[in-house]
Amino acid sequence: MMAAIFATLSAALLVGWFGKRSIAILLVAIALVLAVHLFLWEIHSPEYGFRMPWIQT
Amino acid sequence: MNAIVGKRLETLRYVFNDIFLLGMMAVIAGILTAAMVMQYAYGELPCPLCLLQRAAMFGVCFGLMQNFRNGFSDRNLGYSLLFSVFLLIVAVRQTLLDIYPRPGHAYIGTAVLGLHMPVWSIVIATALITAFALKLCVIGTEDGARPPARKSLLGRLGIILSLYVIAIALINFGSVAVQCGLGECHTTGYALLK
Repeated sequence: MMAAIFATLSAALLVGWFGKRSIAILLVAIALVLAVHLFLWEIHSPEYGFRMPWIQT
Repeated sequence: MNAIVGKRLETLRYVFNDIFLLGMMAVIAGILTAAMVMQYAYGELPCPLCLLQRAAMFGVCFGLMQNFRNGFSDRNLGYSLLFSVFLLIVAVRQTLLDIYPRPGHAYIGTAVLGLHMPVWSIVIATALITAFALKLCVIGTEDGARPPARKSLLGRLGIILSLYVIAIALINFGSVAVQCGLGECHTTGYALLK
């Protein structure tokens, strides 16, 4: 997944450089969606969910 | 007379805008280069959230680069701001994950000036969002303005910085592919080199 994020981001930067703006924006949007998905997957714990019980408030 | 002064002030505003955005791109490129030096020279492999923060910084650069390639637009500013906010969210969450020492959770990597990487990322994201806000307050919008001429100093700087960002993005892509393969990323070693 991380490799896919960096692949789409690099492709967006390259395609944007060569002037294909709409394709570049599509690629960067895909990269952002993948990154948000991976972020949520990384921080989700089977035990706590998204909570952070180690922080006492 | 007033028209001439107004035109010169407008040109000055464009130049200041170019310098400001180039400066922002240079700072992000410098931060990403420093992260790569820590990785390749000191063997500090980035964690998954650290890699997401790098990706967010490349996303910020995407918006900045588009200005110098395809013309200035508020939409480009929007892309950069979106990735700045994403950087802030990831960095805050990672800081909160490790803020209370417990088994399996501690700040990884070397502290720089007493701060670890996710805390620095909060500083960087806040600085980026503040910089965009300051740009809008002081310089204003440049929507529709053409990029600087390619043969001008600022135009050349824009091209050099953009190509540099593309180059380090490609290096990072290769590095991530070797570190993570097609699976999860670990800080214990490069998955494809084991």
